[in-house]
Amino acid sequence: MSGKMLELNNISFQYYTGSFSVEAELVARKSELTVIVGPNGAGKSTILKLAAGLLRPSAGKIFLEAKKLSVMSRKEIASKLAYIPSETNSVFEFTGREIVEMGRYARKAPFEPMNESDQRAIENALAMVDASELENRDFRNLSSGERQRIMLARAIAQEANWLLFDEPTVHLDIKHQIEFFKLLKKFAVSENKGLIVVTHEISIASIFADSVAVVSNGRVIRSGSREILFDKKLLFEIFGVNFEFINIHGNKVLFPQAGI
Amino acid sequence: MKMRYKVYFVLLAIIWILAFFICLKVGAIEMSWKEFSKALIKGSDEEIVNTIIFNLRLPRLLLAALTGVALSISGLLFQALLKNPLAEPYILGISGGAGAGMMLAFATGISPILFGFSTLPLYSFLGALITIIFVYSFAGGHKNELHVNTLLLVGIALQAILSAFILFIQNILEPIDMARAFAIIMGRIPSLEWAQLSFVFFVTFLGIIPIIPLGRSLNALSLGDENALSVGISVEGMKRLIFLIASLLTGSFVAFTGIIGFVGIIVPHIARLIFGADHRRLIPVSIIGGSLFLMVSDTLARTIFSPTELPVGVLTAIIGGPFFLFLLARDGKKR
Repeated sequence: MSGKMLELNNISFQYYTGSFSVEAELVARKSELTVIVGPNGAGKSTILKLAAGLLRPSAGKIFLEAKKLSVMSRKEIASKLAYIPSETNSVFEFTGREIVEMGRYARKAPFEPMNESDQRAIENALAMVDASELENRDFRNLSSGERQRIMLARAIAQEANWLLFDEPTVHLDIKHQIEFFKLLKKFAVSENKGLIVVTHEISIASIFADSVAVVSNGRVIRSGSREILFDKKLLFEIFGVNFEFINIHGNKVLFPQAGI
Repeated sequence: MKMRYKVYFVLLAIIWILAFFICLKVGAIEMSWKEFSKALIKGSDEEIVNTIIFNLRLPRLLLAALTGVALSISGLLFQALLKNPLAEPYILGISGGAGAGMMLAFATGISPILFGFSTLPLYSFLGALITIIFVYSFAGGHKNELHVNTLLLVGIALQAILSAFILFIQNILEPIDMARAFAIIMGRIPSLEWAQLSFVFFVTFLGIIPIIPLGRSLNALSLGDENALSVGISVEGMKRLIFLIASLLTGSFVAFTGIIGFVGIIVPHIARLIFGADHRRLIPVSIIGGSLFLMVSDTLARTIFSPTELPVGVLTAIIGGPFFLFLLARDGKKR
């Protein structure tokens, strides 16, 4: 246990339907980018939601900076950890700024107005993800990429030490995917944040990840440094696809063989 | 609050005050503005005018205002909780549950008069609460797999079943006189005694006060449970509070007015068009707008076919039904 880690200790979880269960052991560190990979339906998102406290494990403990997640209040969790779902929709006409402002709620008593420093945090967050021009737009009319940027701004405005992303790049083109991961990496190092990202982009993950957890069938079957993503045998077992890697400027990069 | 919204809010308040006095003045017995203001300030020389204003129209107008508040706030709460602008106590079958609870208590004679007050509101409150929990669980809410469209269908089916149930019980009790059953199904605003009215005031405040600080929580909740959790809102607590307060507001009012539908859709929807989606604005606006809407509706209901009266529930259904369909068609296209 350490004040700089988010730990899942022998967690198990089962959905109501009982068809699918998850057992997980995972450690993420501050100022690192931890990536969770695995095929569809492997339980990656479930593990992320458990780590974010959105789902309660049926057994096992989660420690957020050495404190048990299960004894923390919602507000306390939210001030330390932000969760960004892969897609957010609204049926109501919130503006971009109103959504980002929600990131500040955990710091406020019910009637406490948003002060100068809240406004600054909101504006900085919007500027950081290049979304300042979206602040007065109706959230429902934004593209999914734009909505994702607003949600990222909200997480930044939350000023949490931990940011957990569920497939953040699914709606982004390749250029924005790379930029997004670069931003995350920079954010982890310069701001000393702990980032956990669930993603299908294993090629990009193999470039940026500091640490990797491979999930299959509801279990974390391997975790460790980025190097495990270059274990061809493991990748074939998990994804059923042969991977190759090439060296670009001394960095190994993974790419799938399409069978041609 | 932005300047624009402040201006709108002041305008709304001015309209409310004007509407209040106009609604109090108009009716089957006509009077001039001079006569009316004299009666208000120092009492009219004719006793009948005083009686009409202070014992008939004023209590009725106040009950209409409070009913409007209760139904609009219930609608607003359900819409945020269920992420659906069509959710409303009538559509969700909760008003029907309240009516059925009351009818059942009446039929079985388990609602004694305590300290001069009827205990029927307690049973309509329980009827509402049980219905909410049933509808929500039926649509998968208790497993975190809420199907919002199923929810509306269940509610509408339940509303039909419960209306039939109310008529059925009445038919067994007194097949000749169905008036009571109709009065429950198509609500109207009575002129209550002042003692009863003070009870209604009390219930309304009891329901509204805990809601006032929840603007931010409702904002976060209306974007989804996970969203609310991740910004620090206790979703389970909110859910229980909303169920309790919405059944308190809807349930106890049905005991006095019968079922008045669609108010909870119309008012919050118009409020959002003008004031945006932020519940810190929508709560006060729904309180003022809801009371305004039902004051005006009830005044129309008692004056358009004067001297006969239309139940205000008929009027709100005639306005609200098409409004509901319009929203359904519009949102359906978007999806």
